[in-house]
Amino acid sequence: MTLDDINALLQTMPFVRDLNVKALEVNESGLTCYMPFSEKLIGNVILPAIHGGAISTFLESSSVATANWSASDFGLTDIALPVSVSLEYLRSARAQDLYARTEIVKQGRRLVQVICHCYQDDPDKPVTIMHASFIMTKSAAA
Amino acid sequence: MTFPLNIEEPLDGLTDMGWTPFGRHIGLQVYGFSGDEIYTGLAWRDDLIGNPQNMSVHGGVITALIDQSFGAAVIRKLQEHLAIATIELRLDYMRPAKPHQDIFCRAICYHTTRQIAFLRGSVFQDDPNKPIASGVATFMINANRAVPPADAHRRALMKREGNG
Repeated sequence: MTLDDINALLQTMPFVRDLNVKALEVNESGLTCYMPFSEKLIGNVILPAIHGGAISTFLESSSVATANWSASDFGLTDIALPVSVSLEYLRSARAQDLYARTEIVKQGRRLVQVICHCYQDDPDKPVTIMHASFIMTKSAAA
Repeated sequence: MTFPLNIEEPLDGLTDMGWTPFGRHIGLQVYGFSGDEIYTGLAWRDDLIGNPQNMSVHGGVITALIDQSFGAAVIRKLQEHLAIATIELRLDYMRPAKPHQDIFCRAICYHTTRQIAFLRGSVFQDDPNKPIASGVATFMINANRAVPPADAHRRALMKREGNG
């Protein structure tokens, strides 16, 4: 899958399109993804900070794209189905753009495991880390 | 939307959980409480779909529902509007959400210490005994040292939305 293919896949997902999540770069073992800041993402109006659910939507979308990118080499073409996600919220995400760097932890025959670091201006200061496992399938129609 | 469980302390009509703009964006509602348990949900909408192949709602919507319900359960348990923050959250997806069906959540804060709250909850559609997802989390209590005055939240929300 090329970067264009990955972005085309993300564009088929209505809620991902709504939040403007995009893949910026294909790296050796994963992707760099981006979600622009928008007022509707706010979870804490006093700080202000982005909602944990908005961050997890971004990270799960980035992880699905990564799982499909990785599994496409094995002919597994259906959209990755999440099994478990685990989130560590390390610091609050300020009212600005979010980036995610994803990495394939393991590509198996049916299962793909992905780790995703979410950051704002400093990649060394992640705001959230997600671990996610996905089941990969190929339907008869695909 | 009718919550598919008996609620001991229903709220008068639906109360939106729009105290967060993201919660308002996806349409989170709170139905009521039974003791320390909170009942919440959101209406099915096609713009919340994450997987166009099985038409299921995005996992992030389910995470947002359970995360904000957990937060509300902590406040309910503490009986005080302290600043709280999610530390860790783990979610297992048992089955994809069915399209055109509303989504509900029951969540409970089952233990607190001076600094930490412990939560578990499940997300389901028509049958509470067939959850589509189940989650656990820990929250930090008094996350920000400076506790804002009681109406600071309302004023900040109005200001952000240009009504203040």
